[in-house]
Amino acid sequence: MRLTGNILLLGLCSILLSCGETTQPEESFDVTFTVPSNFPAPVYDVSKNPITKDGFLLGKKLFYDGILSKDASISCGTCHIQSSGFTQHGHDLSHGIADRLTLRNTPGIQNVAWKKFFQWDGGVFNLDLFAINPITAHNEMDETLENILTKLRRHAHYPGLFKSAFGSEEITTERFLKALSQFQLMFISSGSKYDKVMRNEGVTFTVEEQDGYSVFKQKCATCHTEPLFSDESFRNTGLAVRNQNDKGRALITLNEKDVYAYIVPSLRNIMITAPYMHDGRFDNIDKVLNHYEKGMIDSPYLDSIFKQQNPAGIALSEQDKTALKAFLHTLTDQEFVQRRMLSEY
Amino acid sequence: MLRNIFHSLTVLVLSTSLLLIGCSDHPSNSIHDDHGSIQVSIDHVFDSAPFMFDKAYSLPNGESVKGTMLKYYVSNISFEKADGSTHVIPQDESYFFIDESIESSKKVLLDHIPSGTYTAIRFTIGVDSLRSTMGLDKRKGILDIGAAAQDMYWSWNSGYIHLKFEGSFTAPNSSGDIRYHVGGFGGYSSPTINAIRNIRLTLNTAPLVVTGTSQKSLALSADLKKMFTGSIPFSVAENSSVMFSPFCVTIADNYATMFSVVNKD
Repeated sequence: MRLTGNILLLGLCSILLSCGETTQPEESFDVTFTVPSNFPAPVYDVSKNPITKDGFLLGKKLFYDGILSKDASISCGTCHIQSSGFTQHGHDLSHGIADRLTLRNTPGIQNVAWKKFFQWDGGVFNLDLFAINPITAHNEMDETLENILTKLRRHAHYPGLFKSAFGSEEITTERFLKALSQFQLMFISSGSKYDKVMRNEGVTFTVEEQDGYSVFKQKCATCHTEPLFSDESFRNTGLAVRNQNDKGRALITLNEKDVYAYIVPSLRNIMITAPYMHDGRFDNIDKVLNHYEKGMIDSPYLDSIFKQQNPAGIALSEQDKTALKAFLHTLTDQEFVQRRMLSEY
Repeated sequence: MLRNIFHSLTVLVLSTSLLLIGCSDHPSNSIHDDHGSIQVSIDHVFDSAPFMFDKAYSLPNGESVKGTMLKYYVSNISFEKADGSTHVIPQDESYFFIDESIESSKKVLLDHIPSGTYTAIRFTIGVDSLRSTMGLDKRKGILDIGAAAQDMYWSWNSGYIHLKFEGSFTAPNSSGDIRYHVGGFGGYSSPTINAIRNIRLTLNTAPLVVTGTSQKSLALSADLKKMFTGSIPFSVAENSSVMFSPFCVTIADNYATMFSVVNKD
């Protein structure tokens, strides 16, 4: 397990905290799926997988259990760390078992009920079908679903947990994947300052944040559509090609126009989810903004939206960038990254 | 015998049979004895010789091929009647998995077939696009991506592999392994390759007559040589490894021609 110092510290804090307290009050534990008032209707049909307390807890246990990987060394939570918006802070490319390097940077997990596509290339179109991908990838968990189900059936506790969640001890593909979905569906992040401003909860932007919001709406919002901050389109953003084997969306569509195109990531919690881009090549937000301002490589694949000016890119003054960063900070949701019911310990 | 994927959904089967009874072409017959069954069997051959694993077969271009694995889905079976109507096997029960190494998988028993004179059979090689986008509750049995179907499914690009053929080839100047994993259902939101193939075989010269509760058999032959020559002959040496690429379509076009009717009773 690769835990950064920060995470260790955090873990220690929570142990200390939990020693100081008695058990968490039951009433604080709510698995009601509520659509925030400033959000659209979700994509995922929650009525087909109603979230129950036991289903959520089973999904949570599975999410944080190394039993999902071949050598028991890696859980979902190894790369999706809550304190960094469920990304793997500090790693450009994520590591699988035996330190095998993957092609891409770990995306965050948040507001997945509103997502049409999963993975940087959008190869998976249903949350329930997603987990099998990192589980079976050779350079991630390198396990088979069949083998996991066998391990769970022989486990001392899991059959009972499946019974609590689904009514019988039977452990099936559908139940396993739907439990993981139940847990992740509750990763709702809607408590940022931006959200509170939009919902008129008595909070206002500072002048600089407001300026940044204006720059954002003018120059970023076409792709990073509010309120989820992504239109879930696939675009080539003019990054220099570092790995010719990773053709992005074109791997899925086999369409030349999708070469090196990746899904537009949400900007929610962006200031705590460095490094950036599909391969984590930029370790801070300034490098990202500089790339959009003057670093883009024009090519036949470059998304046409960037070709409206010559040379290709987005005109951003230093003042724009400073204001923009102030606005991006308002997208950090501290309540989400500290929410007890989602945390491993 | 092959298991239907949703045989547990008795209610569905029951209601479907009631529906079929209601629409029966022979209202004069007793409702108890106008549904027979048809056993469809598939025999794999190469040219006219029986197909066997690890045996070399020659292609017209001078290459030869050996097989070590042959697996594919057959789905959405229906029968055309002489009167122009069609009997469709209920969709949830119409997925079958053919594995050359499992003898019983090559025989498919279809029951609740209404009496009638059948002049053609239709089926799909692969898993249709609609099923490929359905939720986990519609992916049971041989479509279970965590069990029976786990080696016939691409998790990174959600979709079933319609057909797998693996083996080796020898060409005049080279040799190597063959790995064909043919998939692609047309894409979920952006169009991409579609290697689903619909087959129609006529029984016109001697229709299949189902009467009463009889069990009829329909023997089909699949000539694997056609996989390499059927529609667009290609060099195996130049296309020895094919997985989710446009060449899937060529291979599918070829094997779509491999089926023929051998006999029936």
